[in-house]
Amino acid sequence: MATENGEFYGRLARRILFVAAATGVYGAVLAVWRSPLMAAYVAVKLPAVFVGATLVVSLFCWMAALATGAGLRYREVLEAVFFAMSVAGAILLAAAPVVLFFVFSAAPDSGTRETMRLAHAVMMLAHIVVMGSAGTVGVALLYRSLKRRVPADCRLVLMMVLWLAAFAVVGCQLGWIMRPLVGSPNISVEFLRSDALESNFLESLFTQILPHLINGGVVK
Amino acid sequence: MSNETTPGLGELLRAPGDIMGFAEGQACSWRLAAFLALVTAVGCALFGFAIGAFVDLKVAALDAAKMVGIAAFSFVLCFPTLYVFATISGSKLSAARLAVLGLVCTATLGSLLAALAPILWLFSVSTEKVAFIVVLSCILAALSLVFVVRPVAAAAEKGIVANRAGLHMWLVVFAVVALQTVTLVRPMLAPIGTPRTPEGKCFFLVHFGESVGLNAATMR
Repeated sequence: MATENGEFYGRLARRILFVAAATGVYGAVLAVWRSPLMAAYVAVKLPAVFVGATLVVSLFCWMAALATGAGLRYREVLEAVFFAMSVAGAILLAAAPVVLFFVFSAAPDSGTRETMRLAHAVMMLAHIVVMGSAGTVGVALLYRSLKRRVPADCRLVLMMVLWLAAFAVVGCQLGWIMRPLVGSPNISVEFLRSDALESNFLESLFTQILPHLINGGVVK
Repeated sequence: MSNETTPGLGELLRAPGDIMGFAEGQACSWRLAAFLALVTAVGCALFGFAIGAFVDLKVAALDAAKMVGIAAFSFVLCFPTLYVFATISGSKLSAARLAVLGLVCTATLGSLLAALAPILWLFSVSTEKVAFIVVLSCILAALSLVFVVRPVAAAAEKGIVANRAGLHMWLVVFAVVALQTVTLVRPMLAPIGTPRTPEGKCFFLVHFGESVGLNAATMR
């Protein structure tokens, strides 16, 4: 039993370390267009978002697993969600050189206020797509893996939808609290914003990012 | 196919699966990798030459070299993505053997580009429209890329990967990186010494869009 525990914690620690390292590298790439200091900040903050979101939702995930008849223990749920995060981390690590290339060859260094705002919005959306895709692949592999482990009468799809929804909501909000992540060109570099806890992600998506993109960078 | 001999171009186009099997087997050697890299380089060089023939022979030679560089750079930059995507898709191959599999894809692409180069050359030397050459080059390159689906399917049939989605995704990433690299080494359709337009960093969609809007008279 003690050996089993030791193996479990060892495996979990390795996965958490890998997720932290991989998202740290991607975090640095994410913000390097703004400044090296910003890259260093985000290399710390992005792992906090990924690992933090996983830990925050793990209890809900366990309960969802019980409610849908998966019969997973808490430690199995933890292992499962960090497996999905590890897959996402591996994809982000692999995508980092490509993203870095685009940052250095396509993102403008300077320009009008509107040009830089549009560049910021496009980059933010691109990073959301990359991270969302990585997470989706992680969840898809987790689904395949869990399908072999859970009882036949388990409502696995419902469980995965609940897990994904919880991850999306908590991950986005944690990311919002930890902003700046991409680094707005018109705001000074700082580790956390003074108004970090004063608004939420969805509010920004619908009132700032999407309207800005639809207007092609022109504020109406 | 014997494991002691390096396969030829015919085998690459006729039965990519055999080469996949060859790469998977014990006899995977640097000779096979060198052959595939050579096919890729020659194909890209011919296609580049045909593009540059629009301007003059000097630009054609320069574009041939640029195209080889673009393919090599894109392959190296996208290799981590290939490794992770293939592994997620069920591949158990080492990084070296996966590099050979990636080269099978690029060599197939190179073969098709070489085959289409004379057609592109014919149009290059008989038109004045930059936009037409840009569009035709993109269509022919996209057509060549479609044929790379065959070796990917062969990899799935041979059981090298469990599903094709990962490799297809890699092809998309490779194509996008190649297009951005083309933008980085611009201009390709203007006399040597012509300043880059637009100056500085530029996203490939912006560059290609502007190229399509350009008139040949302003470039030559």
